[in-house]
Amino acid sequence: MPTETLISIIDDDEDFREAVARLMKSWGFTVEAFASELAFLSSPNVRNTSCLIVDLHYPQMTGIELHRRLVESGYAIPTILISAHLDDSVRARALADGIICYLTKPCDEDALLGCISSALERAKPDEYRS
Amino acid sequence: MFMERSAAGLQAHELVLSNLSPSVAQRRFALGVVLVLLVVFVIVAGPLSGLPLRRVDAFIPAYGTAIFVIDSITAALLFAQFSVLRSYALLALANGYFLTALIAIPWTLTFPGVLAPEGGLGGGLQSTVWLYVLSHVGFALFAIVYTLLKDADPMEWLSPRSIRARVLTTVGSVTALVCCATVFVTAGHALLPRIMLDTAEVSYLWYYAVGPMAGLFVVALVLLWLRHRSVLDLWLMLVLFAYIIEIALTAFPIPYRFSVGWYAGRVYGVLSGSLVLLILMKEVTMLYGELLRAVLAQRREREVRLLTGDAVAATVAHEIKQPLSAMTMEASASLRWLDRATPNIDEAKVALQQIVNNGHRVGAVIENIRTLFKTEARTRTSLDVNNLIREALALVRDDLRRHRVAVQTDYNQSLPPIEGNEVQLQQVLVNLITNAIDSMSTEDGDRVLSLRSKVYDSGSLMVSVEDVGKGVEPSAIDLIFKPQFTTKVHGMGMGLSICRSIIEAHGGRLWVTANLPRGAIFHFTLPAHREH
Repeated sequence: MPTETLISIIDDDEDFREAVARLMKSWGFTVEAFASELAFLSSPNVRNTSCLIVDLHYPQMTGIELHRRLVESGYAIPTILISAHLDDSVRARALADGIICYLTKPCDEDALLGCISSALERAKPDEYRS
Repeated sequence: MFMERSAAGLQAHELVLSNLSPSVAQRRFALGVVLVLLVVFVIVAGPLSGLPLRRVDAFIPAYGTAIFVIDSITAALLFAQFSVLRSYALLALANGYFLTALIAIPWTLTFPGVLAPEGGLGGGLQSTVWLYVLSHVGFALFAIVYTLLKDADPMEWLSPRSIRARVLTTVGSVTALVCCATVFVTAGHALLPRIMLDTAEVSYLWYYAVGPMAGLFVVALVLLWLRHRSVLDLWLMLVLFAYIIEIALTAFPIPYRFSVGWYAGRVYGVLSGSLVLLILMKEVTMLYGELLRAVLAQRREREVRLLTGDAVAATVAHEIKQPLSAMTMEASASLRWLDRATPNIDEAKVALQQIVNNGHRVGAVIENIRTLFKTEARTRTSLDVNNLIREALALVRDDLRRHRVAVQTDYNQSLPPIEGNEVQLQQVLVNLITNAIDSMSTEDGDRVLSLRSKVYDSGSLMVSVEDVGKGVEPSAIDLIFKPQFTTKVHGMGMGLSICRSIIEAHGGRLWVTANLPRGAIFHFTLPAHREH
């Protein structure tokens, strides 16, 4: 289990983001939870997050939007989307945009762990580059 | 308001002409017509009686055709009413009109000068006048039968087939009667009392026929007067009155065909036929409009309800998924902590405590939705909106204090009462206020919540909930009311889509505008309660 990997979570539901954070912590990750995108963007985490878990915010889909903006600004943080709704077209769009995983609530522990592993795999080359 | 009207109020008997009670305006109009008929009668029988008029040959066929067409249509409409209402009274009246329509044919054909100088169809001078007597006596009798039967409530269930059978039987009987009568008065014209001296001159015998005929109509009119209730009764009384004048004009002031009085009598005949027809057509059209409105209102209501159902389902799904996801994750986390070589009891306890909290949250969500949509939630009462605002503020007092939000209120004290469901409207207000508090809780600067009530237009009032929080992005202004829109959930909250559904179900509107320089204003309107 990696220990020095920083994972950031953005979700406006306090109970949910704390639960994700606690679960990550039990897995041994270093986690930081944010209530809003703004809070995340104005934190130093933007620079050193290895994996971002963000609420899709259906139907505005600000999650995808955030990922795109981060990529455009040069922060290609591997991102996992969590949505309360399963929408295949949105899922396809998200994956085409380079999102690692599209999970629906309530999400399966193993699935989440698998997604995080792929995200961290993806994150490694970046670390070498920087 | 329309909920109750369209659901319970759409009773068939209220929308049937023969059951509608006449309005004051309709009574006045009928009285006006009576006065006009009387004035014309006095003028015709008085000053104009000496006016020499010629015989116009085209008049008779034209008149006969008019009577036939008008009375047939009236009869058809009344038969249709009978098939809806299954009232034997209407069946009798329909047959009355059918009789007069049918007799108009032999009456026209036997009229001296139309087919033959002394009367067509092999008849003689007396044929036409006796058909006239039969038509009038028949109609008066059918009107009396209508009056006597109309308050009895037969209304036994009849199959479409037996309705058709009854219509066909009576129509057949009337047709047979008219045929027999026609054969009798034409073939046997020589046996009939000699009322007509020649094609125009009428003998004194006519008075013996006119008297009982008019008397019969007077009896019918008096009976109907004593029992009249519906619009149809009112106009039928007018018809009977017109008939009495018509009969009077054939004998008074001079019993002579093609006199002013005789021509005027024909006009009264057409009038008495068309009055009921015109009224039937007008009322049927108006009722159709009413019905259309009611159906549309009902459809709209159903759509609103469907929307509410949609919104509820989406909100419940969303609001339960959040804590449920949190619970499964906390459970996984606590298992992890306990599974370690050295179990971390403290971390596991924190996670378990969160499961308990989230479990309560799910319970609260379900309880909220249940309160909001249980059967009593549909009952509506007259409410004071300012009171609703005060009560909603009292409910969120702790929240306001915790987030250090100042409240400004601006109540219009002369607001009309509204009709609505207290619990639902309360929830809308609490939800809007909670949203406002939330949107300000992440912002710096003063936190001011403003609540306003005012008169919106002549029939409605408006409530505004104003905050100086982060506001709503212009692109999201329509999205935030969608059922799927992710909302923050805090015990009492239940989503803007449900708020909108509730307001729309109350006949109002809910929308949002920007509060400059920052924040959002949610407005909703509600129609004022009109006393029925």
